[in-house]
Parts: sequence; structure tokens; C-alpha cells
Amino acid sequence: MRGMGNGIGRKRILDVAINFSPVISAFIGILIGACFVALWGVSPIMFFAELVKGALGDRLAVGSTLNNAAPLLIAGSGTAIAFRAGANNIGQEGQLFLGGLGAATVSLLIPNLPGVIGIPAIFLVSFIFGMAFASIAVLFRLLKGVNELLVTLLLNYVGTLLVAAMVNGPFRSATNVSYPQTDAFGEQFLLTNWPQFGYMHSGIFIAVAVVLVSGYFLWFTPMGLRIRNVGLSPEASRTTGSNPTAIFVVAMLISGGLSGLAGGVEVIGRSELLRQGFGASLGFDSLAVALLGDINPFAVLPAGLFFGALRTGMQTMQRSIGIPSALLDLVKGVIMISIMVGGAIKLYVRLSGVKKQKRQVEDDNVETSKEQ
Amino acid sequence: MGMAVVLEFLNSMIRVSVPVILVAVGVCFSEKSGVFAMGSEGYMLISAFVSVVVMIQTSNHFVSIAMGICAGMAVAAVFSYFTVVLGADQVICGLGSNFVMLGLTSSLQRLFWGTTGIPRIAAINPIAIPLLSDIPFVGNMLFNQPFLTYITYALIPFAWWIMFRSSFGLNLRAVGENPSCADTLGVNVRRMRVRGVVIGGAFCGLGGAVLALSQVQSFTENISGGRGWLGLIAATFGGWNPLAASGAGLIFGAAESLQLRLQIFSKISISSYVILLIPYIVAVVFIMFVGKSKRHPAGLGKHYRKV
Repeated sequence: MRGMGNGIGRKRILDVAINFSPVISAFIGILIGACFVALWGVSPIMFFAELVKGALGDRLAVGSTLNNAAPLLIAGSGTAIAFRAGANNIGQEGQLFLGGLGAATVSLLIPNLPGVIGIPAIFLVSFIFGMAFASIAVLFRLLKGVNELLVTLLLNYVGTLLVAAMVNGPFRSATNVSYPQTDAFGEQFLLTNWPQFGYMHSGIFIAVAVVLVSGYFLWFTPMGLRIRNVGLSPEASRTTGSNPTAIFVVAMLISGGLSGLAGGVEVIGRSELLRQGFGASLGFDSLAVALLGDINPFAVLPAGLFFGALRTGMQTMQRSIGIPSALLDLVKGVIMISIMVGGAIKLYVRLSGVKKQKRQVEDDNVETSKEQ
Repeated sequence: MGMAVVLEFLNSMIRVSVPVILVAVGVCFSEKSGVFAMGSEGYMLISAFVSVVVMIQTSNHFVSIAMGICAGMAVAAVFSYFTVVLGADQVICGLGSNFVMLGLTSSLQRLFWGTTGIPRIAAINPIAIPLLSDIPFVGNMLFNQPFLTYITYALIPFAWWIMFRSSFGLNLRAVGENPSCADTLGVNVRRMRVRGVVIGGAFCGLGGAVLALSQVQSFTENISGGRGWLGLIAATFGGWNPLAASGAGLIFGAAESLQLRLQIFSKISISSYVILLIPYIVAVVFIMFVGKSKRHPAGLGKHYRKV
């Protein structure tokens, strides 16, 4: 279907406009949010102003935006890899929580580990925890033929509740009883943060590196090509010698692992201990980030920064003008729907262009119009 | 003592599984017509919210349930416009609509009631059916229930009859299996699919209203809490047959009821979060045993575009 638009010589205004569909979708999402806040007696202009001020207003805001963006970028590029392979991994939320649990496991069970080994060990373990969680869905798919969609979806709840059970049970802090959380991790396990840059932590550099590496992996390596081919057509990729099942497994595991890594970075970068519900909705946001970034890790970079800013702006706005941050869910949902609807309209415009062309050129050939 | 606990558990098992069963039946209609029902969670949320708001305003159960169903149908209609008419991706649109509904209901709840929370609404008392409820063992379990449960008893076989014994159901299944063939035979594919999705929205809406009015007796943030997904799984692994899907829904209801019981009897020293895991673990184990035993409708998830 993708190639069908190539035959159209003339480019319509609508067609050009829809090529900016992620930008338009993001705009539509914020616009609907802005109209909605009128219920609180806040004008849309003020909403925009507060959003920008909250996300980018001062050093603290920028630092918080970048900190929010870091896990979104990591998990978002993982999601992009899964979606390119046609693997329906929507369990980022649970995998991210398991990654956070992995970080806590390392730092609480081996507290004497030096930082040089400790931080890489945390990254490795949180990657493995996320991967293991995704592998449940992989096993169900391979052994039982169950679509990974439903299993990953269910495991989101299992992941969040597992973390809750752990921080209320074995990992519960002995000193702090006000909120279910672990003891503070050792100093050597934490990522450096810079108070002069609004407490930005070094996770953002890791995130950018992950984005670039996974973008390179997906677009410039043979494995990446195979992944994309499997996503476009499993049958065709089989004829070129790759094994769609193996590719599916690889993509799912990478995606789960990166979601786990995102959880690890979030825990040792920002929260500095494992808390109940520490990264709530980060996983679902990263799903939206991947879609907004056109399922392309390179484009996930701006999309993740945008969502990081959106998260920060909404959180600030709850404090400053009392708009509930739950509004973020609404904006996120609208963005996801409008990306998909935009894509559908784009396809429709292309197909109707193809149809018109066919009717002109091959008026007598009835057979061609019967193809779907 | 022991017997009374068991009877009470069985009674609550039926009561608790009603929303999940209703969602499962709704999902059957939507997915038999070829459209993924990923928005079931959102239909439940909006319907629960609307029905509670209407209940507080009017104190009339029938009006509030009707409004809840209408809310579910309205959201389903918008969803079906995007997916069936425009052809947008059903999974992502469904997830997106869930987020929209979650954000909408949570923010409106804050707007209307602030942080004080919603006042509790009057409980719906169980009605014991005179002769039937005296049957030993099953009488109390099945026939000492709120009236909504009796409506559900009637709806399940009715849904089965509609789907497998009426011409409407035949057309519905036809557009789900082979839309182009159905189209050739003169069935309006788009219209049938929109109907399937909207009927699904009505059932999910009823499920959400039952959950809010009869069980929680209030609206809390994210009240559905995964019941929409459990209904989706019950329908999928019940082979999209309303009867089998209801049976699967009953299993999840039992798990949830067990979880609620265990939380009350907190003598056992397990973390309450481990207990909360029970329904999801049961669902995962359920999937593991049932697996992909049934063939899904061939046209499920595929957009049909008339050539």
C-alpha cells in the first residue's frame, strides 16, 4: 500500500499538509486540551502561556523537561523497533516498572558495589528485567499462538502491582514509613545531576545515545533492514531468507529491554529510590512518543522532548493554576487518535488519486479496479 | 459458619462478575463484526461517570443507567467513525480513546467535586425472587441479586440468539469474516460494522453503569481498573461466543471476588498488592491454558475499503 502513492504526479495541498501529520496531531491535541480548560475559567491563551512557561520557563523547568524526556526517549525508541517489526508490544508500562525493580534489586542487595561497576550493572539488570517481562508475551506467542497484544496489556497491571508489592513488602524502607518506598540508594549508584542546570541528570545523554544507536541499528544495519522488512511483509521477508519468528523475538526483547532500561534510568536518575508508582504512565507516554515520532527512532528524539515538555508543563500547571494533570491523558489520547486518523486520511487521498488515474488511463480495463 | 462464607462468596462472585460479563458480550458484538474492541475500558469509564452524575442529579436508577448506556454508545459511535469509516488503526485508536476517557473523567471529577471525592450514592438492594431463591445452595447465589443481575441473565441468551439465530447476526458475522463477500451479497459492510461497534459500546456502557451504581456506589478515578481488558480477554478466549465469553467472564469475576474477600479477611499476612494481582494472574494462567483454540473472525482488525 505504501508504494501506491508513487504514481501520482500532482501533489495536492492536502497531501502536503498531511505529511506534517505528527506536528498537526500534536497541535490538535494541545488545542483540544486548551479548549477543555475553559471549564476551569482559564483562557486558551493563558493555557498555552502557562504550558510553555511551566516546561521551558526557567532552568528548573528545562531540567525537569529533559529528565522527563530521558525515559520516554529510551522506551520510545524501543517501541519504535518493536512496531517496525510488526510486534505489538504495548506493555512498556509494566516493562518499565520491572526495570525500576531491577535497579532497586542491584542497589539494595549489593550495596557495597563500587559505582564504576554499579551503574553499568544497574543498566544491565534493568534491561534484563524488562526483557524477561517482555519474554513472557514472546513465550505465549511462540508456544500458544496468543497475540502479544493482550498479554503485554495484562502484564502492565502485573508489573505495576509487583513493584507495589515489593516496596510494601521486602524492599520497604525501615526508616521512612510515610510512603511505600525503598531506602535511598547508595550515593555511588546515582547518576550525576547538575543543580546549576535545573537538576538535569546524565540520563538524557544516555537517552540520546540510545536513540542514535537504535536509529542507526534500524536504518543502517542488515538486522535493521530485516526487522523493517518483516514488519512490512512477513511472507516477502521469508523469501529473502530471514526468519520472521526470530526477528519478532529479537524486536520484542530489544523493545522490552529498552523499556526496562528506561525504568532503571528513571529510578537512579530522578527518584533516587524506588517508590510505589514511580514512573506512572511513562510507559504509555512512550507509546505515544513512538507514534508521534513516526515509529522512527531519529524522529522519536523531537517527539520525546515534546512529550517531556508536555508532562512537565502539565505537572507545573496543576500547582500554578489548578488544572488537574490528568488532562495529560486526554491530550495524549487525542494525539494518538489524530495521528492514526491523519494517516488513514492520507492513505485515502492517495488511493482515491490512484483510482482516478486508473479510471483515466485504463478506462476499459475492468480487472485492475477489482484489486483491493 | 463455613457454609455461610461459601454462600456469601458465591453470591458476590455472580455480582462482581456482571460488569466483566457484560463487557465480554459487548466485545463479542464488536469483534464479530471485524473491529477490535480496544476501547472497552474507555466506554466503561465514561458510562460509569455519566451514570453516577445523573444518579446524583435525579436519584433514578433507570434514567442514570440509560444515560450511561447512551454515553458508551456515543463514544463507540465516534470510535467507529474513525476506524470503520475513515479506516484508522483500530488498536491505537482504541487505546487512544481509553486515554481520552480516562483524562476526561478524572479531570471532570476534580472539576465537579474537587479533592473531596464524590458522595456515595444509594445502594441497589438485592431482590430475592420468591420461590427460586429458596432452592438450596444455588438459590441464594443466583436469585438473591440486584435487579441488574437479572437483566444480565436475560441479556446473555438474547445476545447469543441475536448473533447466531437472527439474520442481523448472520450479516454481522459475515462482515467480520469476509467483508468483500458480504458486500457482494448486498450487505452494507460499513453500516453493519458501525452497528456492531455501537452495540458493543452499549453493553460496555451497561457494564460501567453496573460497576459504578451497584458495586462501587460512587465514581473513583480509573474506576474500571482493567475490567474492560478482562472482558476483552474473556471474549477473545471464549471464541467470541456470548455464552462462552460469559463463562470466562465468570472466572474473572470469581478471581476478583476472591481478591475482595481476602482483603476483608486480612488474617493472612500477604501484602494486599499480591492479593490485588490475583485477577490478572488468573487471566494470564487462563490464557496459558486456553491458548489460541478458536479461530478469530477472518476480517478482524482489517479495514474494508470498497473498491
